[in-house]
Amino acid sequence: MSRVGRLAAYSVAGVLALFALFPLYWMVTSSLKTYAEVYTFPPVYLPSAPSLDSYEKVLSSTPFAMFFRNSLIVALASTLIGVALACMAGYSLSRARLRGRKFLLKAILTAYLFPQILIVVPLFTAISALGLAGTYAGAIIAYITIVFPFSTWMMMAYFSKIPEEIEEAARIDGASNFLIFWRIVLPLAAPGVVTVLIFSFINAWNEFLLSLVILGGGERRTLPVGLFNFIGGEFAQWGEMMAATTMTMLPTLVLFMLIQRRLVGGLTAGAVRG
Amino acid sequence: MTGPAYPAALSAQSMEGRTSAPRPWADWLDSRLTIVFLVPGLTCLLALTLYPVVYNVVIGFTNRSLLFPGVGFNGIANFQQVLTDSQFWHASLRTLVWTLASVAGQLVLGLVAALALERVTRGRTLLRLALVVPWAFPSVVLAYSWRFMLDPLYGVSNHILMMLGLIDGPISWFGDAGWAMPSVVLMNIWFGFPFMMVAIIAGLQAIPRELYEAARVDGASYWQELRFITIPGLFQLIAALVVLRTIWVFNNFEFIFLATGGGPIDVTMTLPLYAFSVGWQQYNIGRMAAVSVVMILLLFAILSIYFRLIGSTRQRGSE
Repeated sequence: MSRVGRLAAYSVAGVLALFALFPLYWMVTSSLKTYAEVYTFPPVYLPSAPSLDSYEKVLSSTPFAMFFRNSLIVALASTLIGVALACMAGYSLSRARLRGRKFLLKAILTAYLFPQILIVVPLFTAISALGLAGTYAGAIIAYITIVFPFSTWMMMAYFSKIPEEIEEAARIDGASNFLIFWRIVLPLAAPGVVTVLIFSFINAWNEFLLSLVILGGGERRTLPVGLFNFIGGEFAQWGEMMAATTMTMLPTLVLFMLIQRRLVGGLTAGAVRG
Repeated sequence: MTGPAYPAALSAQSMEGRTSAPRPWADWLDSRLTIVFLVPGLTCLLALTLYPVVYNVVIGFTNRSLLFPGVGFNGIANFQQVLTDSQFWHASLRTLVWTLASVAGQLVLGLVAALALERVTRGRTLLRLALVVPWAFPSVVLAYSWRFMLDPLYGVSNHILMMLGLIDGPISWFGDAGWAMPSVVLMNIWFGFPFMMVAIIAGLQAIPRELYEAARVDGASYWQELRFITIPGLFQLIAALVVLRTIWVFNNFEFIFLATGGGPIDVTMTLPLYAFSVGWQQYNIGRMAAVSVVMILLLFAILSIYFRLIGSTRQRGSE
């Protein structure tokens, strides 16, 4: 490869990496600035005396901790239920020679085609008819709509990589279908299951519209909606806002970095949720 | 693949031990495990996706409102109202601009990043990690961090652009009728190009090395390799990525809602925001349903144009 070519590749990748990283850098450093340094132009590029004041203010004067707990409960529960269902459905779809298999796959994919905005109001009326609007249970049910379809696709991709001969061997030994799934297939697919769990958790954690409509402005609000309500209210300080957004995304940023390489496997499915 | 191929604990004896007790009921279920495993998930999917879709189609023909309990059929009045509303057509046009510009930008930037990263040898893992960071941004964090960066008074982007001599004075990016749409599109491109990059890197691995070796023997330049090997090799993948991303961006509500709320003076009001304002802010869910039904038809139209384009390009390629 020519030297010029390599130099060009490095500069292009470098510039794009700067572009990709800058908003993160700006968010985190701004959260560490003092009030005076946030509200000044030209802006301060490096905080002279980094302080955690903004974080302290967010935690002491807003219900951030409550929102955080709500998000954790809703995201964890919907991920566990959604991925469990997805493992079962994905296994069936990867192994079965059903007549309607192709149709089912398409139906699951079509679930993406419909805009969330179309699904959210009917879901809301149904969930509030059940008396579950504004409750964890209502949000968890709604969140399964975003977890289940792409998890099923991703799990199917992982299951189809596991050779069926292994199952045949166990079947000859007299193992039941369920036992084969539970003791052989699932452990072999464990890395895939972990990836899907983490990815689903991130998506559920980040979900905004469903939470806004189903949970409304109540006590059960999740973090994204909590943050959204802050900026309209008296809580419109950029420093504190940046501290709050940093705390919102740090857990998922770490998780995402752990799995980003493995996402390629189930990519076409994961694609749709971004 | 990690883990033992055939766990030692599952010797033939232990399994026979488990299945020896006669349990006709369990055996019956087990023999139909495929169906049993499918039912719960698909029931959820039906209830949570198909039901809302049907609900919309039905409710689109009624005057259902969240404010009043009663429901009456009013025929195609909602659809008439939607289709004669100039706001709807403006929103449709904006949605096209938002979708096409975002997807094109994400694709180009993702392709460039993937090709550059392929040629980088040292520090590749680190660069890759840096480049996927935007993908990890939750929509609310994305919107607010960009709002702060693009702030008219204290925004860093104004300062950088002024230092580079590209603008003369501060601009209110999200607040200016001319700049709001380009700004949200840029934000969306920033968020979406890493996904394209990761997918294209995976696609590049699938192109046979021999093609490049043969081209090099023939003395092909980098650009010729790109033109005649890489791009054709990636074509299928790119087509799939464009279709998936188009669906996602077209339907996206949160990015714009959180960044500009559809403003200023509605210049970023795309169809999802229009539907939301009709249904959730004016409580007219009959009309909102009509909007969403028309929205899906529009999306179908765009996708069918795509598929036709993809089909004709493929045919030309094979001739």
